Amino acid sequence: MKHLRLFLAVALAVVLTACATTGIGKPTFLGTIDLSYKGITAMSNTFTTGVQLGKFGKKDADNIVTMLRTIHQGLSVTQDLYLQACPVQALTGQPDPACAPPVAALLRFNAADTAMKELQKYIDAQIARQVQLQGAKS
Amino acid sequence: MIGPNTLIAMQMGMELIKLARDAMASGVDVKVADLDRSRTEAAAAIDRLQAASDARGAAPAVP
Repeated sequence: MKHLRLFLAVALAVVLTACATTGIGKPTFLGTIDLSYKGITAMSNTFTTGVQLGKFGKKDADNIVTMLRTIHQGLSVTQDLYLQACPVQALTGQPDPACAPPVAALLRFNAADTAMKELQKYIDAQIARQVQLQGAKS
Repeated sequence: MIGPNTLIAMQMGMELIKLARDAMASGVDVKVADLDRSRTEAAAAIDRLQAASDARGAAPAVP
């Protein structure tokens, strides 16, 4: 448990330092979507490992898959709406400061963000349950 | 011996570090082609999770 906490603390410090160095605190709209996709990939990989190690049952894993798919679809629609409204981004890959994300895209993004927060709550609850179970054992 | 929880935590930490490294490599702005690749990778990762879930079947989780 001590090693686990230490590892997480070090990992968090590395990420926070990297974010501060690169200015990730203020990414572009598409940059935010990209990081969210990468977050989905990271979470999916983590849970795949968890399922393979037997830490999550099929029901739990299916719930997580449903939430991740919802988030992915929300982000995907957001991306498409934004690029339709801001074609300069699509053509050049450069941010277009003159083009604000359309309201429909922001709404979709907020929905995906809400689903992401729900997933985080679910993960927290699972971790709390595991800690309780481990406490009851020892 | 390293326990399963530690392994999961290590995996999570490694993914976070990879995430930050990718973001550093690509800079704050993102090209649309990279964004599309991230979208495809995320969908593939979800599919792998679904496959792992299906492989696991209805067996109860290990406490």
